[in-house]
Amino acid sequence: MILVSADNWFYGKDIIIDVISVLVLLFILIYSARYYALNKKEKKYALLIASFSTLTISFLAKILSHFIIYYRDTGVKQMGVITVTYQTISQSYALIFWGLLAYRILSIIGLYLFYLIYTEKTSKLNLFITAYLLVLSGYLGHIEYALYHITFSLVLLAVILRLSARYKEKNYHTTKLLIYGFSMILLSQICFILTLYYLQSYMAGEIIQLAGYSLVLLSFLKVTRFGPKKKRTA
Amino acid sequence: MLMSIQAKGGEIKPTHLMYKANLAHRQLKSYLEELIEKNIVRKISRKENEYIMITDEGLKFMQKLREMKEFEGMFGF
Repeated sequence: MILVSADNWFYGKDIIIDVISVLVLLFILIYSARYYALNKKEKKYALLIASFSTLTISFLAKILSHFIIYYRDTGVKQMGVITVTYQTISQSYALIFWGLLAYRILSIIGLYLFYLIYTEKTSKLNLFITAYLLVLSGYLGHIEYALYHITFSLVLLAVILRLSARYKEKNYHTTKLLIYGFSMILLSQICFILTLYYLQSYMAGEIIQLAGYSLVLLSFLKVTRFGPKKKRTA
Repeated sequence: MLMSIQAKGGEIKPTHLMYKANLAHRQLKSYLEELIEKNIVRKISRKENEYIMITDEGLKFMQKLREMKEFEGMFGF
């Protein structure tokens, strides 16, 4: 099983990109908690906090796993300009396995919690079945690489569609930026799926993901640093 | 209430505030007590008239509220 693949110049850089993603998630998490303290009646904040906490933990698990892959006892092979890191039977493998599994399951659950912000009340049974299928998908993604990214993409697409509907309704400029950011992250997922056919698309995916999170950060900064900017068409 | 005070340049007479914020006298008194206790507004006297004024703390609080509303707007709450 190939764990990570990248050109030499990119080797280990994905950790930096993931650290930036974590920082963006943390910023939003901290501000969500602050605003929740101001308005505890708004249950959507509680969901937002739960979602971004889960996503942050998932990325931390990914960073930990990749760190072990790159800098610990793993087999690294040079194939021309491509460096491929293979799993080796070592103590590190258990940490890598559980780390990546936690990343896949928690990131899907975190995103689903975010999606729940935009859904009407649903029964606990529906929630349980959906959550079970998502966890299963995250687990099976460990065996079938593309499955995780396809599931993540579908949930993300659902979020983008919901956000787009809200944008049409309320017309906030920052919502549009957020939609662009999420769309970039969706595109990065497609690149990760294509890694099965083109190893280089992993790097493209990571760079696009960085651009996506940067756009999310920009929309967030526009709210917190530069004050209200509301664009109305009427 | 706070927006009504700010619309009047940061200070307003209590009676004007009552009408602007569409509050009954008892409600106004109760809300004002809470806002004064939290140092969001304070009472000042000028030319034998009493005014309600937003404090610096209150202005910061309003900025936070605006940010919160924009944050909610961004996520489409």
